[in-house]
Amino acid sequence: MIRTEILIIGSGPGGALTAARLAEAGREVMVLEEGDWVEVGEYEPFSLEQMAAQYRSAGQTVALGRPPIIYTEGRGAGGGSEVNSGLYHRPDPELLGDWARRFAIRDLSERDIAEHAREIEKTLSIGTVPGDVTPASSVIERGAATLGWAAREVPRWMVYRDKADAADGERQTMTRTYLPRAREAGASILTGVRVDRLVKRGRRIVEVRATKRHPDGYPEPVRIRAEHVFVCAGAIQTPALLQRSGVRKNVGRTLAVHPMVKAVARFDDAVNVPSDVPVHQVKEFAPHISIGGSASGPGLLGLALAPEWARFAEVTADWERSSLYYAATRTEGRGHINALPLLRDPLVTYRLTRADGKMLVHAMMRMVHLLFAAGARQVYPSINGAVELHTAADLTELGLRLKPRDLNLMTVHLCSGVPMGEDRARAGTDSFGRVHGFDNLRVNDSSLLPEAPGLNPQGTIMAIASRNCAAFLAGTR
Amino acid sequence: MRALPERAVAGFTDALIAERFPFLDADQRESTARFVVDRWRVASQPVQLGTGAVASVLGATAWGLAALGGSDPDDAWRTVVQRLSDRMLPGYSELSLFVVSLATAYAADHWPGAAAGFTVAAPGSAAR
Repeated sequence: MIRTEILIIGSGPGGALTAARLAEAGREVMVLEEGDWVEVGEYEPFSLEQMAAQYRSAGQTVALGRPPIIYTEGRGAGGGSEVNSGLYHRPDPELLGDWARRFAIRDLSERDIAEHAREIEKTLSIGTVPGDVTPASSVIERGAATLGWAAREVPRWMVYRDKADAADGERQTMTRTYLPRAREAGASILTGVRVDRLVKRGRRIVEVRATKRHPDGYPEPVRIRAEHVFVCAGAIQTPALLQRSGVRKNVGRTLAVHPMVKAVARFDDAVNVPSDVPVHQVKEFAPHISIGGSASGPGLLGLALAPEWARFAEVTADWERSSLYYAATRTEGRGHINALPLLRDPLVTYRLTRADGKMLVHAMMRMVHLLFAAGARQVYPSINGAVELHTAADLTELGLRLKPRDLNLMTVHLCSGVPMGEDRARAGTDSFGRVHGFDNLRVNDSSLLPEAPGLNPQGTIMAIASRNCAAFLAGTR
Repeated sequence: MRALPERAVAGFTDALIAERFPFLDADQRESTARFVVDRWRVASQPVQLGTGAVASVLGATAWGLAALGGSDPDDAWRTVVQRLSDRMLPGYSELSLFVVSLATAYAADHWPGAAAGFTVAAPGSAAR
């Protein structure tokens, strides 16, 4: 039996920050991470090899629904921060105020969050590109300028040397920032350990049962006792673990994501940088629609055209002049996470409303409009029965017959698996992440957000996690 | 010895790739199919169970055809895939999309120009 004061399950942005904060405050901290520790740069960013090594189920995860939504979760030390685009938005004060009112969340004003956000921005070296952005990013800027739409460069957690261009930055992921800090402050970080369930007695978690995976495949049972348990395994795995442990009230019933539609655009000149993503986003329709650029290696371009790749084979043959773009939306609809007996992975479903479907079609139209305004020669929306558009006029025809069920949807932003708030009828935890009905069980990751925020959420997730750590350390919770 | 669903997914994948990716040579098709089955093996369990169940039903059909007609199992798989290729059957659509998406990602990544110059017939019919 292993004993520790504080056990943190998961080492993504929420878990890594929690580990650093609590260890630096002199607490005894142990972090359990299911995946491996992979150094930044070991895999080509956004490659199929990276997907296999650092994504849960190698990226083969889907929320069932009509249409289904493919989602991806990071797996390994650092979680999603190791594989995402690194785009940072400071928590939106208006949104925080709105959440505080609508979901009865205490101490969630800009004043409560600002100091935490500033510390995170400093640690992660948040900044804009000192040199040139990628050509694929300029496309967004140019299209928006032509249409008179608001667009801006989104800062990233990236260190740039001198006047480096966008693709030459060094990502400041959790394995480069908060996890080393936690370790330096005395935290122990165990990788390759999957938590199977939490054992509860009354209002307390009295034991954590896990399995250590050895290199030869041998599964070693591990039992841990901790005074406090923080579950930080992400918006899907956190509720799944709680459900497996018999904690079900308002757990896994309100998953919120930003479904994305995608399109490939082809230009006269080279635009593609496979190892990087564009940093510009169109904010004209925020927070309902946000338009930006995706990783665009030939495999990802082909994937966006599947199952019609062979019809548009010139796109990948000539991949340097093509790039992939997305329009992300907020939804009224919500998803469910269901941990099923005997299964390792939960069943995830997502129900889009009619209004969500219309919004997604509208988002696709806006994005295609932007790409033609930026000078695209052809645009290929990622839909079933893909089409090639040559002019903005083709868009009108597409808009008339495009149905939500035709859209190929995916998402990388997963939130709200165990929402916070004082309203026990709706929230899974209190305003600071303590699970309702428990004294020593807390959630501190993207699960807490009551909604998907309409922007890249990592900054908001980390700022709220930092605030919760401060509340925990102050002994108020 | 591979389990039944995995063998069925492998058989289906070989046949579907042969039909949809005729521009790949035999080695390319083989490594693409291997990639798809490897990814299926690590897919989330609901995805694995759903697609594995559908593939197993199709596999039983293919093996039945082979046994009754005395044909080669690979030919039987091809017959099943060709018969179903333009049908939107529940489960089948998801399975074929799973295989084609993964195969496309892999093939486009490794041989981005492989399909260029290839004339594609109407969706659902065999490409020439």
